[in-house]
Amino acid sequence: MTSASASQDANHSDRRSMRRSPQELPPWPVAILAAVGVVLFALPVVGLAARTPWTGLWTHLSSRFVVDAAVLSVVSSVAAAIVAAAVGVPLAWVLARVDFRGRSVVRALVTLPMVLPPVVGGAALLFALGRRGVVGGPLHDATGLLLPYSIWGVILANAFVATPLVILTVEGALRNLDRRYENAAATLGASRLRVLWRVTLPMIGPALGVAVVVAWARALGEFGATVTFAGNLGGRTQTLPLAVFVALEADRDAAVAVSLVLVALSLGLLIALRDRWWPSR
Amino acid sequence: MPFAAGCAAGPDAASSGSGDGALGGNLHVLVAASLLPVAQVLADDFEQLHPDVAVQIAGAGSAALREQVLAGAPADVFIPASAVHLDAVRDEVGLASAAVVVARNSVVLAVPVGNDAGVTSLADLARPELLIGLCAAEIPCGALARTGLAQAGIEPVPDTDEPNVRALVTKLAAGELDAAVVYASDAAPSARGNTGLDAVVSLGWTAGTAPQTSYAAAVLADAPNGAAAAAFADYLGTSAARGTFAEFGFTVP
Amino acid sequence: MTSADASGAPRVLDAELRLHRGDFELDVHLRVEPGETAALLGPNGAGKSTIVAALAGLLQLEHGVIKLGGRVLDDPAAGIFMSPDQRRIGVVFQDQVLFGHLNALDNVAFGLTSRGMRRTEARERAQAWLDAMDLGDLGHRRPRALSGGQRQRVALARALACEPDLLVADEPLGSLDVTARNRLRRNLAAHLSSGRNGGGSAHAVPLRGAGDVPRLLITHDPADAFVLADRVHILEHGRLTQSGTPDELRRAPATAYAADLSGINLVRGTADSGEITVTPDGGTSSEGGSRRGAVLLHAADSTVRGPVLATIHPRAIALHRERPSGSPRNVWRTTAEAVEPLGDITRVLLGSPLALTADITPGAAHELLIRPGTSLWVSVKATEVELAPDSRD
Repeated sequence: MTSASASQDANHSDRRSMRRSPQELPPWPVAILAAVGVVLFALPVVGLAARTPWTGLWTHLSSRFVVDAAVLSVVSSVAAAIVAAAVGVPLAWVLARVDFRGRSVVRALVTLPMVLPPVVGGAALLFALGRRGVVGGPLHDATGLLLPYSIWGVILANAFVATPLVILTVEGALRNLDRRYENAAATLGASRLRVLWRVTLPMIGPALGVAVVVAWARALGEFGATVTFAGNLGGRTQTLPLAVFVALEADRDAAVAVSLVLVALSLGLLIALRDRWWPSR
Repeated sequence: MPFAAGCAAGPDAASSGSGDGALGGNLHVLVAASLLPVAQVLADDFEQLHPDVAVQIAGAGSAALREQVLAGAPADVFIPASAVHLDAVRDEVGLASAAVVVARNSVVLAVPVGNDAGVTSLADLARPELLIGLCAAEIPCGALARTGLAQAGIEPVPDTDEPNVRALVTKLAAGELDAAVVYASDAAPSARGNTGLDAVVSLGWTAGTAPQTSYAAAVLADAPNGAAAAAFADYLGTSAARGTFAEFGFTVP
Repeated sequence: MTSADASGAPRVLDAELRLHRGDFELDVHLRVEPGETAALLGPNGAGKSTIVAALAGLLQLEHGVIKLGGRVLDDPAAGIFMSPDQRRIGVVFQDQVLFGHLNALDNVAFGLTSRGMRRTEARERAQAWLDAMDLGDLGHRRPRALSGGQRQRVALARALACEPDLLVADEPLGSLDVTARNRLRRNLAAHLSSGRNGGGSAHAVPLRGAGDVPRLLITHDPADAFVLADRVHILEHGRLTQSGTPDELRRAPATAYAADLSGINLVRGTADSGEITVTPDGGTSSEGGSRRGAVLLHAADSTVRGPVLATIHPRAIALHRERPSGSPRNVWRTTAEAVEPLGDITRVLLGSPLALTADITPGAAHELLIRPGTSLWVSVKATEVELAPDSRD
């Protein structure tokens, strides 16, 4: 063993002993504010659980409209996460690596959906890709393809709001990536595409994983852009958030039950993926 | 404003037209989303009569408003689009006085400018090749539309059940739908200027038989500004207010 | 035979490198013959990494030309720029830069599969390379589970496995501590010259080592340069200030930096269990080494046997008027032959039995009243005597 690995071991044992030392206890203002933070996020879940009609829960959850919405939500959010990765990673690469005029404008443009109210984003999509849209119009005339009122519209609206999360996360990871690894691969005869596949992407793997999971979670919870662009029709475009919103108008118990499904689904997957993808330290 | 109102309380207050003492402060009025445009105008007119009162209009889905009231949001006057919500509020919070119907609205078949799809009657709502929009059955305009269509023997094939009527109007006005059943107030000439809608009124529903919904104004039992609330509710029954309602496509009792 | 590249031209690196980055200007003409190890020795900021980047194709020249064997790699005037993956230049990077997501075997196989070799065949060859580096059973380990020295050898195997036309080692020992450096320097010396006769032929897969290609060693450590290189180029402020064999540089340093570096003492001898018998004339200074037959030096490293080069830094040599009482294993009596004040150090040239150069502070020189002919005691800690196998023919 060389000293390099020996000192690494030393670090590990340091870390372990640190965990028990008083140095790890937060100063009291930190502790209080952190506790406030936890309560802030836990309370809504508690509130939801308290309002949940536990006795009739299964009836609500097994109803046709809940099952339809859940299936549609899972399918469209997963598809949106894939689209977000497929579009977001190349965009992030360009933003991180290519120095071109107007890069900051492009970056602002592609991250706009993060700050835009989703309804505005959905309306903008409708004006661009709807039947009378700038692009959607000619597209519809030529091919008969219509994105709104279809699952494709749901996926597109979800991807629209989820992709910026992938772009920002992956661009940050690419900027932090030590370029020497890619250089080393190039000197070993790897083409640029092979460098990307075999070195760059594996090395930013953890960040990419986080990006995709966050994008997926965002897509799963998406409401405004979806309803504005794709509409709301049970079994076709009605995702869980839309089902909750509509149910709130008529049947609060059903709405709460669906909300609970949404929370459980998201929370469960985020917890399950955490150890796998989140940088653990 | 509240301070100014406080200072003004006194002999001068009697000059505030209706002679019912010192009216001032903020007045919170919660209205169904379909009432929002007309409510803004009514509020402005009311403030002209009572310069010390600041009317705050909040418009949303009636069910959402009900939840807000039940959760203790500051509210003086509540005007939902369906009696169901009023009943819930009466039972749980209580009303200062009986609710009074101030306006009625009916549904109409509406098409975008140009009517490219050639919609001529309610029966077209069953044509699958057209893009048809309705309000979701869970909200008042959707329930009303379905009631009316059932009476007319039409089984619509919607492409979207919009969760609120404004969203439905937006899609229709953008030409992203061929036809929709919306409130008459949304298709009224005053509204059309903004939305680009060309209403095909009363197609299929002969005049007067279209199903209607009533807007009843209620002053809440624990209204923070009860005096102004009562004055506003009274004002909605005046001929001036009735004229405004009519102008916006509502019918008045 | 193997000293020629694919086109039949001898593998000579002939590079005229001219470019600037900000205020820094690089203007260097570098020629390395097949089978020659050239060291590029210079302080930080002299432009060493820029040269590596330009040779590897990670940076474009503004003027000049890079020729390797019969191929032109970069020639801005002719509009030629060959991308890094086409250059066939093996680079051993500083800190190794092994792929953390691949195990050692796949790190070595990476270049082979990149050049289109089938995965199983590439792994087979990579395994042979690991075997040749005495890492045969560590192929499954990720780089972070390897020691610094093991990583170093994996990096070398990775570069050599592609059978490059030029081997560039950028501070290959830079990230290691002193003990590991000494051991690895030896290793590196052996591996750099391996394959000179088609080495590694003991393995099922014939391996072509770096023996017949030009080798460029980038370093800031004179010990690396003087021990490993046939020829040393001294780089200062983007220019080569002196080039020559280690002996030539030592005899006539052209700049203050070269003079400082060239004070390094190299002693030839034969090692056994940490004892080095210094051969007559084993000293490398012009005066020659031992004048009274064999001298014994002690080194902390007892693993090397046979012909060695022992390196002793001039600052590691302590001078005393009286016999020192402490622990140093190497103590002998000598006379000062010359005393040269060089600014913040004073250089003392020592006479028989070993002609060495010692650098001490001017204060110490004054205190010891050293003049030519002064009788002195010399002490050197065994840990300061670094050993490397003497690979020169």
